[in-house]
Amino acid sequence: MSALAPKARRRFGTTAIVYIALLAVMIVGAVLVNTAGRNFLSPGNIRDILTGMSVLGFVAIGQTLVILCASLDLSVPYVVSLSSLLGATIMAGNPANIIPAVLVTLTVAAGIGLLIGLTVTKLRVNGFIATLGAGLIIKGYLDTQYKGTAGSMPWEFQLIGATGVGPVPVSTIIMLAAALLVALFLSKTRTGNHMFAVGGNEQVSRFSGIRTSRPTVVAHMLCSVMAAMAGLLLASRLGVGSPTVGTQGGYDLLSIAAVVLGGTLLLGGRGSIWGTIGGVAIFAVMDNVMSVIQLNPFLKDVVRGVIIVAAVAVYTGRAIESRRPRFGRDSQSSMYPSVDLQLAMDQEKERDHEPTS
Amino acid sequence: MSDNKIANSTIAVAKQMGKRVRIDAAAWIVLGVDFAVIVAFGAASDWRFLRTENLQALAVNSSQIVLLATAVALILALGEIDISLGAVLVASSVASGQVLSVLQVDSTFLILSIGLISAVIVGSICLAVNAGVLLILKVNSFIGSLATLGIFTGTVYVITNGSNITGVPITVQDAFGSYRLFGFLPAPALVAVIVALGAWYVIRRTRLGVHMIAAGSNRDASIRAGVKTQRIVLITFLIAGVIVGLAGFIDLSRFGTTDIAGHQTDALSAIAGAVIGGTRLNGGKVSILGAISGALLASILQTGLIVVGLPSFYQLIAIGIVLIAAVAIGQRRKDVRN
Repeated sequence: MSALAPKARRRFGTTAIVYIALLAVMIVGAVLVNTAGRNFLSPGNIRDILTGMSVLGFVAIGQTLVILCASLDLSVPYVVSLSSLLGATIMAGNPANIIPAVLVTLTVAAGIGLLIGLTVTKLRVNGFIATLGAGLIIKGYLDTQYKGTAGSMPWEFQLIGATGVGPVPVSTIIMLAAALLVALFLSKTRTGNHMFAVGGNEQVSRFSGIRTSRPTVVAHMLCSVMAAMAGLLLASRLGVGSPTVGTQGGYDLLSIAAVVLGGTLLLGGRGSIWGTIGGVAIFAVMDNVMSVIQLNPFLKDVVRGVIIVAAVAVYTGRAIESRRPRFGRDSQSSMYPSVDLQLAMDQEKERDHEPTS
Repeated sequence: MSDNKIANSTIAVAKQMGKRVRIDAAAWIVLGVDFAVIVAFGAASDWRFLRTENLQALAVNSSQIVLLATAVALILALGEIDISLGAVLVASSVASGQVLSVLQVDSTFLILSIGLISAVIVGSICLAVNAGVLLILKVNSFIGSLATLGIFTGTVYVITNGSNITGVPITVQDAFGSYRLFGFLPAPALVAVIVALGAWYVIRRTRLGVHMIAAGSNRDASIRAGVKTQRIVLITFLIAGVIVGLAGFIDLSRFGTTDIAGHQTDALSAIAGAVIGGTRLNGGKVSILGAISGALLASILQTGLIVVGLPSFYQLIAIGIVLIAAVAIGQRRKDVRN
């Protein structure tokens, strides 16, 4: 437990970097957009950016929890598609069916997450493989059952995707509320706290008396439920459910990229929801700027890839430095002399800063 | 770590390897399942499934995924992963097609060699980039290849402007893609078999192979035992790049054009194939025979279901279940042994 204090400070540090990067991206974006003769901060443009955040935001919030537990979810695009179809077919254009449809969809998603979580914890199948398999199974089901779009969303439900408070879309407000709830869950509940522990080191957590399977199972369930929320939101925008809406968005890899861009460690145990929201915002601003200045749309993938590599290279440098002492490695036997030098310098820096902070 | 421990861990690795050569159970089981499924589809389709033309088509169709599974198995052996292989395949087929359609040479030999060499060069450049991101920038190979997947795909789309390459000489189809050696053996399948045998030989019979598996089982221990792991990683990625480049050339030569939008799930399918065949995701255990058998299982199910008249989508459900089951059983066996 004594390790918690410095850990908390470093976590804040990474999240701060994410928001500094977001600010930088926004400034560069504003300049580029202004040279193209458009206003970056116009209400319409802000609404576009926030709308772009909402769907990926939902998926990335869930993905953050799973990655914190040192697992991974590649099945999200298929859960998104399945949920859009379930929601739309159960509602079938009737506003009276909205609540049952939402409940059924979220329950089915929670069930899928439960099965994945149990496969990961009880059968001890790696999360990558378990969700790759689960994704294939759901895709097989979707492809055999649905030939195209199905169902229809009542107008009342479509309003969720279409209206806003000022320039802020309702969907984004719901997404940010979900982020707040999940962030509180992580910091205030036992299971939430245990997610960091289990993701950091499962063995040690078990020896410390934590039921190691529960956090992972809960994370997978919440991740599938969040993907289902994204699916319902997409269906509310389209007015129908679609079997390909999730794969078209590429939400599996995009959400993992957003989570990692937000400073969460892919190996688990360290990260934050607000970092992820920052990562999602960076992607949304980049997408917006690139379409406003009418850059070749195919270059988006390239720019995004370069940003991911650059960001992770920076984080990894920091992770190596801050992780090394936890293994209690003495510098004599080290095979990373340069890292140790860096580490020594860092420690010196920290010592200098200690009294002031 | 003391010298004694290093010696012990080296001996342990050697012992494990000896064991693995003898009992590569998962791979043989999956191969058996492959044959059983082929026979079952044969029986269910009035033996239409076992006709020579159908088996030839199956062999050609699966040659690319077999090559990708072989490539990814080598990378998984190191404890690394690469999810950009589908994009690399597309990049190399586009490069090859572009070069051939611009040059418009006449001789069959020149067409095949130029096409092949440009595909292989681009394939290995792409994987050299991935190796660089991993070794120099120290970015985890999953995230690194996720990022380069976007970079490669985006670059291909910018170069081709989103449309497939046309004007590739028909010779690539006649002399390679649709060519049947001795009148019955499809050339792409023959290439896939030769490459897989080569990969098996490297892993099981060369020092490079021993070092790859050592680096995959325990990177720190192998560094201390004097293995130049960075070099091993780079060489392995380059070999994988050559193999994926070959797969890209096969893709071009089968239809005489590229398929830039059609390979998005190839990398994950290849990983699934390798893992079904007993290759471990976190390194140190690899089976080329298993990777081939696992990759073949998906192709056999897909073709077979169509021949029998069922929706081929059931293949996805079957592979998903087999994938999870294979890993769960492998995990159980490992637990028992420990």
